[in-house]
Amino acid sequence: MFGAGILKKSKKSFSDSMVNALQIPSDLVYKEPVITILGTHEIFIENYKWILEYKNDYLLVQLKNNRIAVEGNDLYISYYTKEEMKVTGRICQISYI
Amino acid sequence: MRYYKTLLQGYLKISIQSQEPERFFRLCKNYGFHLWEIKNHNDKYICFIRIKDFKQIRKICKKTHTRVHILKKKGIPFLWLRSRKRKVFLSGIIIFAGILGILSCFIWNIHVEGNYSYSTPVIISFLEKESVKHGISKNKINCTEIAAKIRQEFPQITWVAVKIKGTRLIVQIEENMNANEDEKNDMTDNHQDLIADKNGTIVSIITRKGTPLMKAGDICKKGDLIVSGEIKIMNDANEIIDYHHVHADADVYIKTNYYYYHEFPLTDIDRIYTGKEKTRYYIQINPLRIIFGSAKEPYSFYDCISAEKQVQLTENFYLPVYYGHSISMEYKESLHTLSQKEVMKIAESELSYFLEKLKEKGVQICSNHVKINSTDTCCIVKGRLDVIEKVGVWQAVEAKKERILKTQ
Repeated sequence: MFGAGILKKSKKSFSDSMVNALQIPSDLVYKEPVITILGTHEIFIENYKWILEYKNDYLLVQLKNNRIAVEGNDLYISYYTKEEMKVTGRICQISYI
Repeated sequence: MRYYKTLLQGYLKISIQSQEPERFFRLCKNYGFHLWEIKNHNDKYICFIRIKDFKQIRKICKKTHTRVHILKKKGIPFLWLRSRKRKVFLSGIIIFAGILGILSCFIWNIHVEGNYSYSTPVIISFLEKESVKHGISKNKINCTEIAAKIRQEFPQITWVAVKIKGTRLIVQIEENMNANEDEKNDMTDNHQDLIADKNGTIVSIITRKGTPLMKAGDICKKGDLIVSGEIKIMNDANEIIDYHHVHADADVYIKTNYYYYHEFPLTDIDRIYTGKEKTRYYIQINPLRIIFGSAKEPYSFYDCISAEKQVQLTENFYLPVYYGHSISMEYKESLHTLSQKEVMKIAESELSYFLEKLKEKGVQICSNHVKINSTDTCCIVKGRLDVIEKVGVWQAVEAKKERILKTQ
């Protein structure tokens, strides 16, 4: 168990150092979520997992390690694909849960 | 582009009512069913879905206990279904698009630009000779070949660009505007003689280049050599050592005669217009002429004035269809005997017109021996005119040598 833990840790550090050395964006390697906000009316969420809750004024999206909650009025999902989704409406608050 | 693809495939506006809508969306995402414009209205969700995805979401609906209602059907497949009753209308659109597509494969306008000395019809008729006509298929046109042929045919054209733009064939031309001057300069370098083109007595001769063989007062006949283009180069012993050849140039004026003769009858037929006229419109499709109105000639004596236009499809594409109108104006003939004054007036005006024409040519009139004689039926104006005029035409020396050889 102990040995495996060290191996895992060293593997991760090796991949980290490789990513840093090659200057590859981490959203491509680790599938880190990328969130782009355009003013208060548009939000793009890339590398998300799935939609947890969707109402007219509230949207909860599962990301890799946490969740993002978007609060506002007249929120609607313009489109969503396996990779990204676009939400339009009047956005009031964005929070990580 | 994506929108047009979706429109072509067809899509639906649906309403989703579910206890677990998020699960429904998640499954749609996992199965790769594309949903867009998702809006929430109380417990309902309204969104768009493609037809091919809609056919497959039944299993997801069962899993998530979802009820789906179709609100709107959009796209070409639904339009096609709805238009099944209007087959003629739909086939008309298709035929129209087909004809448009076929017609766009041909050249319908030949446009020539940049031409000054060669007129557009001249170039178009040359292209027609080379079987580049209006209505020719685009595939048959080789632009570089056409450009080369135009350059070969018209020496003054220095640059040609032929290109196809849509259904237009554009011929761009650059002409050498100094070509005439160059030709003139070339002429001066050639070895040419100046010969007489008329009979007469030389009044004055001013030689600029060459050796004059005649002097003032000499009688010259048509074809006589006046100024030779050959200059003999002598040495101190008066022996010919070489010949220098030039383009002979001189102003040679000779005194010569013109004979004038004009005869006209003393009676004249006058046309008195009655004021009655008739306008008829017509369309002529070669060789058929369709006249609107009566085809019979309205009067026994009439003058007819026609204005005609040819139908053109494009700038230089004329169809063999003409349209226009003709005005027939009735007149009556009356025989009229000319008075002495009128006879003199006609005779003088005709003579002065003839003299004017001569003066325009640069002929100087020395003396006028023209007399007017009237008989019972006609008037004869005849006589001799003594004039001084410039003579001389150039003849290439090669031609002269040939002539000498022939005589030998």
